[in-house]
Amino acid sequence: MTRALIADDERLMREQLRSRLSEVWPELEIVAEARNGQEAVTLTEQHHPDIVFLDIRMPVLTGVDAARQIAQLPTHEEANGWAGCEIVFVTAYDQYATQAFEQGVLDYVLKPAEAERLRVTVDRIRKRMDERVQQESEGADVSLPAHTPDMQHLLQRLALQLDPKSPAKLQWIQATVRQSIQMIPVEDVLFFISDEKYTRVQTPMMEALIRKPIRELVQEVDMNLFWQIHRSTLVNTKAIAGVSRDERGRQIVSIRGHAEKLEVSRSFAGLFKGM
Amino acid sequence: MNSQAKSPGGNDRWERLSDRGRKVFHDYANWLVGITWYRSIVLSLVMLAATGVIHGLPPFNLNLPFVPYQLGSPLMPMALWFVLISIVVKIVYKGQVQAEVKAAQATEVAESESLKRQVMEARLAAMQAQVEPHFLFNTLASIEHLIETDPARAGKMQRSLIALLRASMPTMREVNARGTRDLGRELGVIRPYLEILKVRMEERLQTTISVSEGLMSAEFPPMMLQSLVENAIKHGLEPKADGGQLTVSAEIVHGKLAVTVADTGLGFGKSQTAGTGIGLNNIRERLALLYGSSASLNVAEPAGGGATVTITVPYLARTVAEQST
Repeated sequence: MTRALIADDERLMREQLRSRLSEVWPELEIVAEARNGQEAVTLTEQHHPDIVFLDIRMPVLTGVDAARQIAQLPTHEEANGWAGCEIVFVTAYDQYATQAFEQGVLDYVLKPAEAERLRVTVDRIRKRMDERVQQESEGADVSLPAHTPDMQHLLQRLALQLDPKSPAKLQWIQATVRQSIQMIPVEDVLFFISDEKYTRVQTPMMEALIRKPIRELVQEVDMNLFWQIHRSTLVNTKAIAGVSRDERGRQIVSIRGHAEKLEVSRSFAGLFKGM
Repeated sequence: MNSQAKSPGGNDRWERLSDRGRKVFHDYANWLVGITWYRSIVLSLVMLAATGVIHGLPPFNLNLPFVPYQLGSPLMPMALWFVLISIVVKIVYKGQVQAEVKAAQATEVAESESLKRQVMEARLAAMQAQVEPHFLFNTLASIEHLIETDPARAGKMQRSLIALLRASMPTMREVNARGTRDLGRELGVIRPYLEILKVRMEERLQTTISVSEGLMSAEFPPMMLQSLVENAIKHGLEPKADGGQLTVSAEIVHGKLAVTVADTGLGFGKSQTAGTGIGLNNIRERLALLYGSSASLNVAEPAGGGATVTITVPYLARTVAEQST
């Protein structure tokens, strides 16, 4: 039984989508309704739906920001086996977003949701979900659309378009090293990795600790340069020497000029494929 | 009477010649007024020396080789008269030229002001024809849903939308010479807008409009109130999880008409969608163009949060003749 969450600040719109979905996908169970972006994230973590329908213009957090935070939620072993969710955007008219949508990278539905158009999106999602189940049963690595670097980069760009005042790409990391504050240019960073309460910043020369958690760094660094390979790891793509597999079949990233190896989590497993 | 109406040929040629002559004199007079006294004296002396008027007097008895002193006699008095007349022209024309320059400057300023106003009005007319697309499509979506679930409310919302669109259409006939309309007309746009939003936002939007009947006919510029209300909704109340209250009120303060839009939303600059203040600046510019320093736009953030914006204009009741039918 596939489970879904609907998020929209207007009750009429939530009802409208719910009733349309019941027409084109009667088996779909709507487990929760969120009234704003923040609620969307909280309820997704609580109910672990398979699909999330997000209105773009919502109070507190926009649909795009909610999507980015949902992509950072714990999955698999840390979440009772929940494999994450598909994200579908819902919009009445958004001149910025429609560009990304028309390129076919993001799933979207126009308000008011018409049965035929909704069916197209629903069929796409069901096909993807079936494919994923198939591939996982064959032991291949599949990552959710929300976890691909393309998607994270796209969401970052979309968020910037919707809110031009959001902070520019992070250029410097300010880290406390012993008694002083070091300014580390972000290009020098090999990777960021969560270390209990802190985040470790590793450069070829040294390591430093900062307070900013990975899920915040993901919002601020250039997602072209850095890829998220694990909920707790952000790696500089230029520093990747190669990717191999360990005994458990997990992907392991090796870093140029550095002994440490980084583990790729199951959610992001589809990132590295041979060309 | 057009000069072309006269018989062509000889008359025409005289016209052209005298026009040309007048222009030459005018240019010469302008130039004379323009040069400094020092320069004009020096030039006069040079001319007098060259024509032999003063060649006899030291230090001018230079006996320059190519000066036609043998022609000196007839040239001498001519040159003298020429210099004297030029001096007179220079003195007399100074006032005239100054007056001409002032007149030209005044015309320029008036033209640019009138041009600015025309540009503003053109922009206004274009803006008036638009209802924000996001609002429009969201409203249509709501109506569609209500048709299936609550047809009575669907009809009501549809009627409000029609009223809003009608009120937003530009009708130049209504805009009087000063480019203003009346307060009642502006409220005719805002009321259906807020009615629609109340159905969509439900408990997240409470509204109060307190404008007494007597103030409805007061003169008020178009498209300002709508802008303030849209701002209050878009940047103040919509982004707030629980929404809030929007109030539109009008009263006479110290003999002027003060119209206020107040909301209990997020306040300025706090919401992610906050604008850049260009809208408010536009309103200020338009108020200055229309009323000079007699009108103002005031922005306040009350202690409890939210925002209050007040437009104050001179209180003028529009005459019956100006009011639209």
